[in-house]
Amino acid sequence: MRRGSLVGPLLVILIGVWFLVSSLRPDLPLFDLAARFWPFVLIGWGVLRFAEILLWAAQGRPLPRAGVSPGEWTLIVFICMMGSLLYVVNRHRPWQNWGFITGNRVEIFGRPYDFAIPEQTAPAPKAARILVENLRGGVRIVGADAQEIRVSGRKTIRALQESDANNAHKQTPVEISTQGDQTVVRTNQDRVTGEERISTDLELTVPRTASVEIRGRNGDLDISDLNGPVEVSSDSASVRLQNIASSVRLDLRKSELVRAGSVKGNFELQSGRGRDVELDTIGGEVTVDGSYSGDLQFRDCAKQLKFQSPQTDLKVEKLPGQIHMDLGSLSGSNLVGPVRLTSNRARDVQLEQFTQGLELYLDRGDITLRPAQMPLAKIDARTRSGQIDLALPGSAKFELKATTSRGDLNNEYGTVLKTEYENDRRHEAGGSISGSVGEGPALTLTTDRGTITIRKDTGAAPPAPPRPPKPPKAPGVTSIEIEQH
Amino acid sequence: MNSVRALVRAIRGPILLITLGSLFAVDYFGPYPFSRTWPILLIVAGALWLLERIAPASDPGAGSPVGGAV
Repeated sequence: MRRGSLVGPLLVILIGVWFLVSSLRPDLPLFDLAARFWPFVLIGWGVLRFAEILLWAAQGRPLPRAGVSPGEWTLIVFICMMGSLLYVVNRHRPWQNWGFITGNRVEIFGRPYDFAIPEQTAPAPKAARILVENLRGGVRIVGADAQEIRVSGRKTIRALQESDANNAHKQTPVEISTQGDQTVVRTNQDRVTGEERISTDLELTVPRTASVEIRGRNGDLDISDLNGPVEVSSDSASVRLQNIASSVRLDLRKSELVRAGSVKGNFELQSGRGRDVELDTIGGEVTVDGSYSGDLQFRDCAKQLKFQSPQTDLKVEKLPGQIHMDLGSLSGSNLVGPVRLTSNRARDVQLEQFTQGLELYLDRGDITLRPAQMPLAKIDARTRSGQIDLALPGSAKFELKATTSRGDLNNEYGTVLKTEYENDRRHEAGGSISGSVGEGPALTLTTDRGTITIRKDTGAAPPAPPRPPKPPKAPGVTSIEIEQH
Repeated sequence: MNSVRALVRAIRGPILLITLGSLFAVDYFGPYPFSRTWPILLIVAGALWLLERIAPASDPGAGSPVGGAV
């Protein structure tokens, strides 16, 4: 007489528990857990069955012909395929909000129902503090010369039936409450008892002098014409700011776009994973922290600019000009230093018209430098692999030391600067250009691998387009390219 | 009564299953992807098959399954 295995019932219990927990605690990342830990179900299954068989053998009971039956193998293959699929989907998650992934059937079978939010007003003191709590949905705030807060908007409820949507709409009124000088605007989406999915888009008109704080999980924000400080924290939001006379603090876990124009105070942006950032005309200090995969543009920052990502650190004392940065390059013009830039990602750097010195350390990438006319300041630029091209104003005074460990040297200054090759027959073996022109700051250029070019900047002409790579020199030719000016 | 051969044949499935689960776990949490470790499955299957072949054959009616009566 053979007793059946315990594994089948245990597996059913495990699946039941998983679904129960996922419906009781939708906040737990159960999908994520299942996608990553399903192989341990197979291991557990195998271990249990193994132990069972040993036990049966020890008790002298008849053993099954196969420890895992063909039917069970079919199930295992199915689990492997589903598990691998889950894992891939979970890792890439291009469709994070798909209902069947998050287990919300309203997303698949439900329909959207729209509700208008009738306009509400509440008196606000002059220096009101306004807190907007909206889990899902966009918020638009405009400052105006008024003594009251006006709230209106639109609610979209995704539900299986219209009656469910109506019910959810009643459960989640938009409320304005005042406590002391703080006014709270709440969308109460967390009050819904069913599984309807609610998104509230709010339009607020507030006194211009108010300070604003927005807390949310998902939704785009648009804030303009305020004299008070702005503070935002959200899991996922694109933020547009215009004409803020005070400071701005943004704490975003994910953002597609952050755009700010005319902010008079400090600007602080913290983003877990961001894409594009555009800052224009910022009066205070700018601090940008996080990892960004798109384009970053900074223009006209009156005070210190600090950018920090896992790969790149940048500090500029003032930015009358602009900086543009993407994953592979950084270009800037009209910077007030000392400029400090460190990057351990492959990045080409092009800087024009910078003053007060430069410290630049690259892991990989070409460096093109064209400092401001006068006076020249200390420059220390290093790259482990990449060309360095330095164009100096004609009348510049400096003390140069440029070294390449593997690569050619181009010296337009001629005999004023000394060009020394490690090996006169093979210029690729590296060398240095050194010497002084008058009494001036130290310019240190170092590359482990790449050509160094020292040029005379011919004036206000735009920088030369990137030159095509030089053809390799024939061995044995020892002429040095020198152009006398 | 069970012979060693029957035991080996019975545990072949569970051991293969454990190996399969472990290879996926190593893929997700360890340094080696499944695309590189899958031959281990063949090796384990082959080894178990071999073990089954060299294990003492069933001897119906004999008292002790292990060792058997010589």
